[in-house]
Amino acid sequence: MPDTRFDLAIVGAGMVGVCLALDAVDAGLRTVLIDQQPPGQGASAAAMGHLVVLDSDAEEMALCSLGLRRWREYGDLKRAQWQNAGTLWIAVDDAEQAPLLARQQAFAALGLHSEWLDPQSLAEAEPGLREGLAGALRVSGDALIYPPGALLDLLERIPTSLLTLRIGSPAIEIDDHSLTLADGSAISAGQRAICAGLHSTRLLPGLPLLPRKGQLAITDRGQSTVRHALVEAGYVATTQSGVGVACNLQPRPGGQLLIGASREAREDQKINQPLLGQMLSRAIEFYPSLAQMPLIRCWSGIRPSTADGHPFIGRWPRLERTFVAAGHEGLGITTAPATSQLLLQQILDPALPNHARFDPARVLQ
Amino acid sequence: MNAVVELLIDGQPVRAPAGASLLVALEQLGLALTASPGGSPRGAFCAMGVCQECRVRVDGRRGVLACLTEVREGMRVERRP
Repeated sequence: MPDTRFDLAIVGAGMVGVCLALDAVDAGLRTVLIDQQPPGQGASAAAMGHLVVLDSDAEEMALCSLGLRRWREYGDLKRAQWQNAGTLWIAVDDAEQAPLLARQQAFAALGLHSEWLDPQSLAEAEPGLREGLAGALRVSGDALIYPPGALLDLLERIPTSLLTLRIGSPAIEIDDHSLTLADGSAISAGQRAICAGLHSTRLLPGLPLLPRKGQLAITDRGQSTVRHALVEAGYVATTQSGVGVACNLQPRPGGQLLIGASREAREDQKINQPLLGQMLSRAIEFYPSLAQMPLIRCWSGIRPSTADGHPFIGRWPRLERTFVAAGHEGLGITTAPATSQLLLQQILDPALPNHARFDPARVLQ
Repeated sequence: MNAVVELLIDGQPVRAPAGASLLVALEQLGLALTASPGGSPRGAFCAMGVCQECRVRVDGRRGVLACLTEVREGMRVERRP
Protein backbone atom coordinates (compact mmCIF):
# COMPACT_ATOMS: atom_id res chain seq x y z
CA MET A 1 0.00 0.00 0.00
CA PRO A 2 1.28 3.48 -0.80
CA ASP A 3 1.92 5.91 2.00
CA THR A 4 -1.10 8.20 1.62
CA ARG A 5 -1.20 11.61 3.20
CA PHE A 6 -4.38 12.40 1.35
CA ASP A 7 -7.41 10.30 0.50
CA LEU A 8 -7.96 12.29 -2.70
CA ALA A 9 -5.81 14.57 -4.84
CA ILE A 10 -7.74 16.71 -7.33
CA VAL A 11 -5.80 18.27 -10.21
CA GLY A 12 -7.57 21.34 -11.59
CA ALA A 13 -9.29 24.02 -9.50
CA GLY A 14 -11.96 24.88 -12.06
CA MET A 15 -15.66 24.42 -11.43
CA VAL A 16 -15.50 20.62 -11.66
CA GLY A 17 -12.51 20.38 -9.33
CA VAL A 18 -14.02 22.75 -6.77
CA CYS A 19 -17.41 20.95 -6.78
CA LEU A 20 -15.57 17.67 -6.30
CA ALA A 21 -13.47 19.10 -3.47
CA LEU A 22 -16.63 20.24 -1.70
CA ASP A 23 -18.29 16.83 -2.08
CA ALA A 24 -15.13 14.95 -1.10
CA VAL A 25 -14.62 16.98 2.08
CA ASP A 26 -18.31 16.51 2.93
CA ALA A 27 -17.75 12.77 2.58
CA GLY A 28 -14.87 12.98 5.05
CA LEU A 29 -12.01 12.56 2.58
CA ARG A 30 -8.68 14.29 3.30
CA THR A 31 -8.43 16.26 0.08
CA VAL A 32 -5.80 18.30 -1.74
CA LEU A 33 -6.71 20.58 -4.65
CA ILE A 34 -3.87 21.34 -7.06
CA ASP A 35 -3.58 23.99 -9.76
CA GLN A 36 -0.92 26.12 -11.36
CA GLN A 37 -3.23 29.15 -11.25
CA PRO A 38 -5.55 30.41 -8.52
CA PRO A 39 -8.97 28.70 -8.50
CA GLY A 40 -11.30 29.42 -11.42
CA GLN A 41 -8.84 31.06 -13.81
CA GLY A 42 -9.31 28.77 -16.78
CA ALA A 43 -12.44 27.94 -18.78
CA SER A 44 -14.59 28.65 -15.71
CA ALA A 45 -13.53 32.30 -15.74
CA ALA A 46 -14.61 32.83 -19.34
CA ALA A 47 -17.88 30.90 -19.25
CA MET A 48 -21.32 32.49 -19.71
CA GLY A 49 -22.84 30.75 -16.71
CA HIS A 50 -25.96 29.48 -18.44
CA LEU A 51 -27.31 26.61 -16.37
CA VAL A 52 -29.15 24.86 -19.17
CA VAL A 53 -30.62 21.46 -19.89
CA LEU A 54 -29.74 20.22 -23.38
CA ASP A 55 -31.35 17.15 -24.84
CA SER A 56 -28.97 15.84 -27.50
CA ASP A 57 -29.38 12.47 -25.81
CA ALA A 58 -30.92 11.05 -22.66
CA GLU A 59 -27.63 10.81 -20.76
CA GLU A 60 -26.68 14.41 -21.46
CA MET A 61 -30.13 15.57 -20.44
CA ALA A 62 -29.97 13.58 -17.20
CA LEU A 63 -26.52 14.98 -16.40
CA CYS A 64 -27.68 18.57 -17.02
CA SER A 65 -30.83 18.03 -15.02
CA LEU A 66 -28.92 16.59 -12.06
CA GLY A 67 -26.46 19.48 -12.34
CA LEU A 68 -29.22 22.07 -12.15
CA ARG A 69 -30.87 20.28 -9.24
CA ARG A 70 -27.60 20.24 -7.31
CA TRP A 71 -26.90 23.90 -8.14
CA ARG A 72 -30.26 24.74 -6.56
CA GLU A 73 -29.43 22.62 -3.53
CA TYR A 74 -26.28 24.67 -2.94
CA GLY A 75 -28.71 27.42 -1.95
CA ASP A 76 -27.57 30.96 -1.38
CA LEU A 77 -24.30 31.77 -3.16
CA LYS A 78 -23.76 35.50 -2.73
CA ARG A 79 -21.42 36.15 -5.61
CA ALA A 80 -23.13 33.74 -7.99
CA GLN A 81 -25.72 36.42 -8.86
CA TRP A 82 -28.28 33.69 -9.45
CA GLN A 83 -31.11 34.58 -11.83
CA ASN A 84 -34.11 32.31 -12.45
CA ALA A 85 -34.23 33.59 -16.00
CA GLY A 86 -35.28 30.49 -17.92
CA THR A 87 -34.28 29.93 -21.53
CA LEU A 88 -36.14 30.85 -24.70
CA TRP A 89 -35.18 28.59 -27.58
CA ILE A 90 -36.16 30.73 -30.53
CA ALA A 91 -37.48 29.30 -33.80
CA VAL A 92 -37.15 31.50 -36.88
CA ASP A 93 -39.50 29.38 -38.99
CA ASP A 94 -41.83 26.41 -38.79
CA ALA A 95 -39.03 23.99 -39.66
CA GLU A 96 -37.32 24.92 -36.40
CA GLN A 97 -40.52 24.58 -34.41
CA ALA A 98 -40.94 20.80 -34.78
CA PRO A 99 -37.66 19.82 -33.06
CA LEU A 100 -38.44 22.23 -30.24
CA LEU A 101 -41.83 20.59 -29.70
CA ALA A 102 -40.05 17.23 -29.59
CA ARG A 103 -37.70 18.71 -27.02
CA GLN A 104 -40.72 19.79 -24.97
CA GLN A 105 -41.86 16.13 -24.86
CA ALA A 106 -38.41 14.98 -23.83
CA PHE A 107 -38.32 17.57 -21.04
CA ALA A 108 -41.81 16.60 -19.86
CA ALA A 109 -40.74 12.96 -19.61
CA LEU A 110 -38.02 14.08 -17.23
CA GLY A 111 -40.42 16.22 -15.23
CA LEU A 112 -39.01 19.51 -16.56
CA HIS A 113 -41.48 22.25 -17.35
CA SER A 114 -41.39 23.95 -20.72
CA GLU A 115 -44.02 25.68 -22.83
CA TRP A 116 -44.40 26.76 -26.42
CA LEU A 117 -44.78 30.52 -26.96
CA ASP A 118 -46.53 31.55 -30.14
CA PRO A 119 -45.25 34.69 -31.91
CA GLN A 120 -47.55 36.98 -29.92
CA SER A 121 -46.66 35.46 -26.53
CA LEU A 122 -43.00 35.60 -27.50
CA ALA A 123 -43.28 39.31 -28.34
CA GLU A 124 -44.91 39.91 -24.94
CA ALA A 125 -42.22 37.90 -23.13
CA GLU A 126 -39.33 39.65 -24.92
CA PRO A 127 -40.48 42.80 -26.72
CA GLY A 128 -36.98 43.52 -28.03
CA LEU A 129 -36.85 40.45 -30.28
CA ARG A 130 -37.40 41.11 -33.97
CA GLU A 131 -40.80 40.57 -35.54
CA GLY A 132 -41.61 37.61 -37.72
CA LEU A 133 -40.22 34.84 -35.51
CA ALA A 134 -42.09 31.53 -35.44
CA GLY A 135 -42.13 31.28 -31.63
CA ALA A 136 -40.02 29.89 -28.86
CA LEU A 137 -39.83 27.09 -26.34
CA ARG A 138 -39.58 28.53 -22.83
CA VAL A 139 -37.69 26.31 -20.39
CA SER A 140 -38.52 27.78 -17.01
CA GLY A 141 -36.06 25.88 -14.86
CA ASP A 142 -32.86 27.08 -16.56
CA ALA A 143 -30.90 29.72 -14.67
CA LEU A 144 -27.99 32.13 -15.01
CA ILE A 145 -25.02 32.55 -12.71
CA TYR A 146 -21.72 34.40 -12.67
CA PRO A 147 -19.33 31.42 -12.66
CA PRO A 148 -16.19 33.01 -11.14
CA GLY A 149 -18.20 34.30 -8.19
CA ALA A 150 -20.04 31.02 -7.73
CA LEU A 151 -16.75 29.11 -7.78
CA LEU A 152 -15.24 31.25 -5.03
CA ASP A 153 -18.41 30.95 -2.93
CA LEU A 154 -18.28 27.14 -3.21
CA LEU A 155 -14.59 27.11 -2.34
CA GLU A 156 -15.23 29.25 0.74
CA ARG A 157 -17.77 26.73 1.95
CA ILE A 158 -15.00 24.20 2.45
CA PRO A 159 -13.42 24.67 5.89
CA THR A 160 -9.76 25.56 5.26
CA SER A 161 -8.75 23.05 7.92
CA LEU A 162 -10.22 20.24 5.82
CA LEU A 163 -8.87 21.14 2.37
CA THR A 164 -5.25 21.60 1.34
CA LEU A 165 -4.83 24.02 -1.58
CA ARG A 166 -1.63 23.60 -3.61
CA ILE A 167 -1.57 26.56 -5.97
CA GLY A 168 1.38 27.70 -8.10
CA SER A 169 2.99 24.57 -9.38
CA PRO A 170 1.28 22.42 -12.00
CA ALA A 171 1.06 18.66 -11.76
CA ILE A 172 3.35 17.35 -14.48
CA GLU A 173 3.52 13.62 -14.00
CA ILE A 174 1.41 10.85 -12.60
CA ASP A 175 2.14 7.16 -12.20
CA ASP A 176 0.54 4.36 -10.24
CA HIS A 177 2.16 5.55 -7.04
CA SER A 178 2.56 9.28 -7.04
CA LEU A 179 1.66 12.64 -8.51
CA THR A 180 4.59 14.96 -9.19
CA LEU A 181 4.40 18.74 -9.31
CA ALA A 182 6.68 20.97 -11.41
CA ASP A 183 8.42 22.17 -8.24
CA GLY A 184 9.52 18.60 -7.63
CA SER A 185 7.20 17.76 -4.76
CA ALA A 186 5.37 14.47 -4.79
CA ILE A 187 1.76 14.21 -3.71
CA SER A 188 0.73 10.89 -2.32
CA ALA A 189 -2.98 10.23 -2.31
CA GLY A 190 -5.25 7.20 -2.14
CA GLN A 191 -7.18 8.34 -5.20
CA ARG A 192 -6.44 10.91 -7.88
CA ALA A 193 -8.97 12.91 -9.94
CA ILE A 194 -7.81 14.84 -13.02
CA CYS A 195 -10.21 17.72 -13.75
CA ALA A 196 -7.79 19.95 -15.62
CA GLY A 197 -9.62 20.62 -18.86
CA LEU A 198 -7.33 20.58 -21.90
CA HIS A 199 -4.31 20.18 -19.61
CA SER A 200 -5.61 16.76 -18.55
CA THR A 201 -3.97 15.24 -21.63
CA ARG A 202 -0.54 16.21 -20.31
CA LEU A 203 -1.06 13.92 -17.34
CA LEU A 204 -3.08 11.31 -19.17
CA PRO A 205 -1.52 10.76 -22.61
CA GLY A 206 -4.00 9.04 -24.88
CA LEU A 207 -6.94 11.08 -23.58
CA PRO A 208 -7.80 13.29 -26.57
CA LEU A 209 -9.33 16.67 -25.73
CA LEU A 210 -10.12 19.27 -28.38
CA PRO A 211 -10.15 23.05 -27.94
CA ARG A 212 -13.39 24.81 -28.83
CA LYS A 213 -12.60 28.48 -28.54
CA GLY A 214 -15.51 30.82 -27.82
CA GLN A 215 -15.76 34.61 -27.79
CA LEU A 216 -18.06 36.76 -25.71
CA ALA A 217 -18.92 40.44 -25.54
CA ILE A 218 -20.74 42.41 -22.87
CA THR A 219 -22.59 45.71 -23.00
CA ASP A 220 -22.38 48.62 -20.63
CA ARG A 221 -24.84 48.67 -17.72
CA GLY A 222 -28.39 49.90 -17.95
CA GLN A 223 -28.78 48.90 -21.58
CA SER A 224 -30.86 45.80 -21.63
CA THR A 225 -34.34 44.78 -20.52
CA VAL A 226 -33.87 41.17 -21.62
CA ARG A 227 -35.37 38.76 -19.08
CA HIS A 228 -34.54 35.28 -20.40
CA ALA A 229 -31.52 33.61 -21.88
CA LEU A 230 -32.31 34.04 -25.59
CA VAL A 231 -30.84 31.27 -27.71
CA GLU A 232 -31.61 30.55 -31.33
CA ALA A 233 -32.82 27.03 -32.01
CA GLY A 234 -29.96 26.58 -34.47
CA TYR A 235 -27.44 26.91 -31.61
CA VAL A 236 -27.29 23.17 -31.02
CA ALA A 237 -26.21 22.60 -34.64
CA THR A 238 -23.15 24.83 -34.10
CA THR A 239 -22.23 22.84 -30.99
CA GLN A 240 -22.29 19.69 -33.10
CA SER A 241 -20.32 21.05 -36.05
CA GLY A 242 -17.77 22.72 -33.77
CA VAL A 243 -17.53 25.93 -35.81
CA GLY A 244 -19.65 28.99 -36.42
CA VAL A 245 -21.73 31.56 -34.60
CA ALA A 246 -25.20 31.57 -33.08
CA CYS A 247 -27.31 34.09 -31.21
CA ASN A 248 -27.06 33.54 -27.45
CA LEU A 249 -27.98 36.54 -25.29
CA GLN A 250 -28.05 36.53 -21.51
CA PRO A 251 -29.06 39.30 -19.12
CA ARG A 252 -26.67 40.24 -16.34
CA PRO A 253 -27.62 42.16 -13.17
CA GLY A 254 -27.45 45.91 -13.68
CA GLY A 255 -28.83 45.80 -17.21
CA GLN A 256 -25.75 44.44 -18.94
CA LEU A 257 -26.26 41.98 -21.77
CA LEU A 258 -23.82 39.15 -22.32
CA ILE A 259 -23.51 38.24 -26.00
CA GLY A 260 -22.39 34.93 -27.48
CA ALA A 261 -21.65 32.60 -29.01
CA SER A 262 -18.90 31.42 -31.32
CA ARG A 263 -16.96 28.24 -31.85
CA GLU A 264 -13.55 27.67 -33.45
CA ALA A 265 -11.14 24.75 -33.28
CA ARG A 266 -8.39 26.95 -31.85
CA GLU A 267 -6.45 27.13 -28.64
CA ASP A 268 -5.20 30.75 -28.68
CA GLN A 269 -7.19 33.35 -26.77
CA LYS A 270 -6.68 36.22 -29.20
CA ILE A 271 -9.91 37.90 -30.31
CA ASN A 272 -10.83 36.90 -33.86
CA GLN A 273 -12.32 40.21 -35.03
CA PRO A 274 -14.12 38.99 -38.19
CA LEU A 275 -15.72 36.16 -36.22
CA LEU A 276 -16.66 38.59 -33.44
CA GLY A 277 -18.31 40.74 -36.10
CA GLN A 278 -20.28 37.76 -37.42
CA MET A 279 -21.34 36.85 -33.90
CA LEU A 280 -22.59 40.36 -33.15
CA SER A 281 -24.37 40.59 -36.52
CA ARG A 282 -26.13 37.34 -35.79
CA ALA A 283 -27.22 38.62 -32.38
CA ILE A 284 -28.46 41.90 -33.88
CA GLU A 285 -30.55 39.95 -36.42
CA PHE A 286 -32.52 38.58 -33.49
CA TYR A 287 -32.33 41.62 -31.19
CA PRO A 288 -32.10 44.75 -33.37
CA SER A 289 -31.68 47.36 -30.59
CA LEU A 290 -28.43 45.64 -29.62
CA ALA A 291 -26.86 47.59 -32.47
CA GLN A 292 -27.20 50.76 -30.36
CA MET A 293 -25.81 49.31 -27.13
CA PRO A 294 -22.21 50.20 -26.26
CA LEU A 295 -19.97 47.18 -25.66
CA ILE A 296 -17.39 47.54 -22.93
CA ARG A 297 -15.49 44.28 -23.12
CA CYS A 298 -14.79 41.24 -25.29
CA TRP A 299 -12.98 38.10 -24.22
CA SER A 300 -12.44 34.51 -25.21
CA GLY A 301 -12.20 31.16 -23.51
CA ILE A 302 -11.38 27.62 -24.51
CA ARG A 303 -14.02 24.96 -24.04
CA PRO A 304 -12.41 21.55 -23.61
CA SER A 305 -14.40 19.15 -25.78
CA THR A 306 -14.30 15.59 -27.07
CA ALA A 307 -14.60 14.06 -30.54
CA ASP A 308 -17.98 12.45 -29.83
CA GLY A 309 -19.38 15.38 -27.84
CA HIS A 310 -19.61 13.50 -24.55
CA PRO A 311 -17.47 14.35 -21.56
CA PHE A 312 -14.97 11.95 -20.02
CA ILE A 313 -16.16 11.08 -16.52
CA GLY A 314 -14.85 8.06 -14.66
CA ARG A 315 -11.97 5.76 -14.00
CA TRP A 316 -8.89 6.05 -16.28
CA PRO A 317 -7.93 2.43 -16.93
CA ARG A 318 -4.25 3.05 -17.72
CA LEU A 319 -3.44 4.06 -14.13
CA GLU A 320 -4.31 2.71 -10.74
CA ARG A 321 -6.66 4.74 -8.52
CA THR A 322 -7.06 7.49 -11.13
CA PHE A 323 -10.20 9.24 -12.34
CA VAL A 324 -10.83 11.90 -14.95
CA ALA A 325 -13.55 14.51 -15.49
CA ALA A 326 -12.94 16.71 -18.52
CA GLY A 327 -14.31 17.66 -21.93
CA HIS A 328 -17.72 19.07 -21.01
CA GLU A 329 -17.48 21.70 -23.75
CA GLY A 330 -20.31 24.22 -23.17
CA LEU A 331 -21.89 22.33 -20.29
CA GLY A 332 -19.06 22.34 -17.77
CA ILE A 333 -20.64 24.84 -15.41
CA THR A 334 -24.14 23.32 -15.62
CA THR A 335 -22.93 19.79 -15.07
CA ALA A 336 -20.04 20.33 -12.65
CA PRO A 337 -22.04 19.37 -9.52
CA ALA A 338 -23.45 16.32 -11.32
CA THR A 339 -20.03 15.29 -12.59
CA SER A 340 -18.72 15.60 -9.08
CA GLN A 341 -21.47 13.39 -7.73
CA LEU A 342 -20.83 10.65 -10.33
CA LEU A 343 -17.10 10.73 -9.70
CA LEU A 344 -17.37 10.72 -5.92
CA GLN A 345 -19.64 7.65 -6.01
CA GLN A 346 -16.90 5.82 -7.91
CA ILE A 347 -14.15 7.16 -5.68
CA LEU A 348 -15.98 5.84 -2.63
CA ASP A 349 -16.98 2.53 -4.24
CA PRO A 350 -14.16 0.87 -6.21
CA ALA A 351 -16.62 -1.72 -7.58
CA LEU A 352 -18.75 0.86 -9.38
CA PRO A 353 -18.14 0.61 -13.15
CA ASN A 354 -17.81 3.60 -15.47
CA HIS A 355 -20.98 5.10 -16.89
CA ALA A 356 -21.16 3.70 -20.44
CA ARG A 357 -21.70 7.02 -22.26
CA PHE A 358 -19.08 8.97 -20.31
CA ASP A 359 -16.52 6.15 -19.99
CA PRO A 360 -13.05 7.62 -20.69
CA ALA A 361 -11.87 4.15 -21.78
CA ARG A 362 -13.89 4.45 -25.00
CA VAL A 363 -10.96 6.31 -26.59
CA LEU A 364 -8.61 3.40 -25.95
CA GLN A 365 -10.62 0.83 -27.92
CA MET B 1 1.93 75.70 -11.71
CA ASN B 2 -0.49 74.99 -8.90
CA ALA B 3 -3.39 75.95 -11.10
CA VAL B 4 -6.64 74.37 -10.05
CA VAL B 5 -9.95 73.86 -11.76
CA GLU B 6 -13.31 73.53 -10.11
CA LEU B 7 -15.70 70.83 -11.21
CA LEU B 8 -18.88 69.16 -9.95
CA ILE B 9 -18.81 65.55 -8.86
CA ASP B 10 -22.28 64.16 -8.18
CA GLY B 11 -23.42 67.77 -7.74
CA GLN B 12 -20.71 68.65 -5.20
CA PRO B 13 -18.18 71.34 -6.15
CA VAL B 14 -14.60 70.08 -5.80
CA ARG B 15 -11.16 71.38 -6.80
CA ALA B 16 -8.57 69.42 -8.72
CA PRO B 17 -5.13 70.21 -10.11
CA ALA B 18 -5.29 71.52 -13.68
CA GLY B 19 -3.94 68.96 -16.10
CA ALA B 20 -4.84 65.99 -13.90
CA SER B 21 -6.85 63.13 -15.28
CA LEU B 22 -10.31 62.76 -13.86
CA LEU B 23 -9.25 59.41 -12.42
CA VAL B 24 -6.40 61.02 -10.46
CA ALA B 25 -8.75 63.77 -9.27
CA LEU B 26 -11.29 61.22 -8.02
CA GLU B 27 -8.61 59.18 -6.28
CA GLN B 28 -7.09 62.28 -4.63
CA LEU B 29 -10.54 63.06 -3.28
CA GLY B 30 -10.87 59.51 -1.99
CA LEU B 31 -13.94 58.81 -4.09
CA ALA B 32 -14.68 55.31 -5.32
CA LEU B 33 -15.53 55.19 -8.98
CA THR B 34 -18.65 53.18 -9.56
CA ALA B 35 -20.59 50.73 -7.47
CA SER B 36 -20.97 47.23 -8.86
CA PRO B 37 -24.55 46.12 -9.52
CA GLY B 38 -24.30 44.43 -6.13
CA GLY B 39 -23.36 47.75 -4.49
CA SER B 40 -19.72 47.08 -3.69
CA PRO B 41 -17.23 49.84 -4.61
CA ARG B 42 -15.15 49.47 -7.76
CA GLY B 43 -11.94 51.11 -8.85
CA ALA B 44 -9.78 51.56 -11.90
CA PHE B 45 -7.67 48.55 -12.79
CA CYS B 46 -5.47 49.52 -15.73
CA ALA B 47 -5.62 53.34 -15.76
CA MET B 48 -4.81 53.30 -19.48
CA GLY B 49 -8.10 52.97 -21.27
CA VAL B 50 -8.42 49.22 -21.56
CA CYS B 51 -10.31 47.77 -18.62
CA GLN B 52 -13.39 50.01 -18.79
CA GLU B 53 -13.68 49.96 -15.00
CA CYS B 54 -13.50 53.78 -14.66
CA ARG B 55 -16.57 54.62 -16.74
CA VAL B 56 -18.32 57.77 -15.53
CA ARG B 57 -20.75 60.29 -17.01
CA VAL B 58 -19.40 63.68 -17.99
CA ASP B 59 -21.82 66.47 -18.86
CA GLY B 60 -24.48 63.82 -19.37
CA ARG B 61 -22.41 61.67 -21.72
CA ARG B 62 -22.16 58.00 -20.74
CA GLY B 63 -19.20 55.69 -20.87
CA VAL B 64 -16.49 58.33 -20.47
CA LEU B 65 -13.21 56.82 -19.24
CA ALA B 66 -11.99 58.85 -16.26
CA CYS B 67 -8.40 57.69 -16.83
CA LEU B 68 -8.25 59.24 -20.31
CA THR B 69 -10.16 62.44 -19.52
CA GLU B 70 -8.52 65.65 -18.31
CA VAL B 71 -10.34 67.68 -15.67
CA ARG B 72 -11.95 70.86 -17.01
CA GLU B 73 -13.39 73.92 -15.32
CA GLY B 74 -17.11 73.47 -14.74
CA MET B 75 -17.15 69.80 -15.79
CA ARG B 76 -20.15 67.88 -14.40
CA VAL B 77 -19.21 64.35 -13.40
CA GLU B 78 -21.54 61.57 -12.28
CA ARG B 79 -19.93 58.53 -10.69
CA ARG B 80 -21.98 55.89 -12.48
CA PRO B 81 -21.33 54.15 -15.77
